[in-house]
Amino acid sequence: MKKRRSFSLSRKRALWGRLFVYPWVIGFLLFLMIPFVQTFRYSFNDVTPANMELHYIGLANFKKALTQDAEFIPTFIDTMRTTAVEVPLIIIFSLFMAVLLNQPFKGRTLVRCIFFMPVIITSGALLALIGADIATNMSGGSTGGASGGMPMLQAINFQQTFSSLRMGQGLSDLLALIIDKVYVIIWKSGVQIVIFLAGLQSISKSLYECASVEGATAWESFWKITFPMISPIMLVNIVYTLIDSFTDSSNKTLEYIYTVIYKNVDYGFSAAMSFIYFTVILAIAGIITFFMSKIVFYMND
Amino acid sequence: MSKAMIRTGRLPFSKKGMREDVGRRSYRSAWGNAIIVIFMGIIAIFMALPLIYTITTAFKPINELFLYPPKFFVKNPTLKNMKDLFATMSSSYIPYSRYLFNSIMVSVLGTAGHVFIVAMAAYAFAKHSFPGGKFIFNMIVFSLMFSGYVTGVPRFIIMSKMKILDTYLALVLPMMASSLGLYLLKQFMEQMIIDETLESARIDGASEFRIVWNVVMPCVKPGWLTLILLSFKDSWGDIGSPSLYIQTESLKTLPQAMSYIQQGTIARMGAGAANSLLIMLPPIIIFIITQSNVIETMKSSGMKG
Repeated sequence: MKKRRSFSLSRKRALWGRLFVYPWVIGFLLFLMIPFVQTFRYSFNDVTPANMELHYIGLANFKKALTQDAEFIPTFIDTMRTTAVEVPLIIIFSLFMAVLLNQPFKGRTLVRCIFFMPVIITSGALLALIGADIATNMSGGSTGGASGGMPMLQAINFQQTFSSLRMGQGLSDLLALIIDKVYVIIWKSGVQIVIFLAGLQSISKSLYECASVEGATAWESFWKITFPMISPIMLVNIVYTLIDSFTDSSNKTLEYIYTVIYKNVDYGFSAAMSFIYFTVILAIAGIITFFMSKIVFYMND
Repeated sequence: MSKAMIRTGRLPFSKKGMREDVGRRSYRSAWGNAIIVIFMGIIAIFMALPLIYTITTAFKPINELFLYPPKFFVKNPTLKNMKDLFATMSSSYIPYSRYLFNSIMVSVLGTAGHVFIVAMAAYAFAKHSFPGGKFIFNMIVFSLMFSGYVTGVPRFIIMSKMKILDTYLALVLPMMASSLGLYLLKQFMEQMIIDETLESARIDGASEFRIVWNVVMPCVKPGWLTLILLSFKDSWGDIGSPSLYIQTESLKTLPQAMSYIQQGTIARMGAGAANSLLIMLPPIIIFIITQSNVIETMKSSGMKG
């Protein structure tokens, strides 16, 4: 009797669990999965934009993207290269910053806030607005030679700032170049720092207490406690950074795909390109997740 | 903290006899501290430049706005830009406050709904096993990679079939279903919540619903506070989906209204600068609120050491 009761209870629990997932799953199906499948269908068809009529043309769209189109492959490779350099640097930098910002010091919230600024500025509308605003203001409309993902940097023309400080030309060029690279990394790690911070905050203090009683140094407790405890969050962050840079609106490949969708109104071809793009991202993310899962440590295991 | 303490690596005790600084590497050398402070200071100053510039510009009188090369700081601060902003917009067809209201409405509703739905789903994924659970979760990670813009056209068709185009729902519902938050919270719950805690709550007779809100959520507070921040800032600054799914003028959000202000003539320059500041503020406020809570509220999370 008792046994049966506990069985039905656990069944009930499982039912609740499923019930909790449904609201989200419904939304997921409607707004992500179905559009996704639709896009997949488009990629094998020639889509007439006026009435969304589909004409099956097989792999022609994919062939066009891979062999005929002059722009797709070069922009694609370029995007890959940038991402490969930036993602590890962003992760290392943001973990470093998060550990520093996790320590108590005066004005900590202010400093954290400052590090989060780029995220707020680069989110959608503000980017267009403030970026353009300051650019026209500060450099008279001509944007500097900074890289594409860095509108704010183009905006605040460092070269101009430095030369106004009356340094030598060579020195100011060099400084501008260094800041350019460093800035890209700092600029893009706002969210990652915040996520890492949340992860660091969630680590039980008693773990560190134990370690220090046992005589562990700060260095040891970082690698033996902080690092394993933060590793699942790190996986989130890596995936986030990858996605962020691959789906960023300033991303050259996506920019090209958007032009094809919204200006040339060629849904089929753009769908094919986005699927090639998507498959490659998925493969990269899959490989990284696979290797990370050997490092990631879960408390409950 | 005295120098001797720093050197010996002894940790200070507060009056209550509690170790407050444990786990924070407070026993680094004084030099190391100085270097880090300087390093962070330099970066922080550079990061703050755009913010300072936006703030000062919003209060610049018209003759200072067009100075070339522009000055970083304002000499004669004025509130005229703010007045202009509301004046020019209230004389137009839709008042500025309406756009502001729309933006707040969409961001707050969407964020609240998102956290609510995602928290329950994340709990189920992290702590329940059910048929197809693994598969669905893999689909989540899968869907993360696909840019929302690319699926914009089919999504539009679905919304028109659901008859929610051109309503708040068109902006709010997709936001609730976004999968990054689920992924984030699930990782947090998996890591921070021990099954024994849940077991003891169940033995005490808590329903699953109560477990989520009274046991699990307090433990992952940094996680969902971060989620609120991310979700809010995403929808607040979003210009893509409103311009795709909203046509009625009185339902448009601030980012869309911005383009009208920007398109204005030179006289609108000041209003534009004031607008930039106003748009920037809410995410910053949310940031400060959530972050100071993240710092203050982490008590013992019911975990064994």
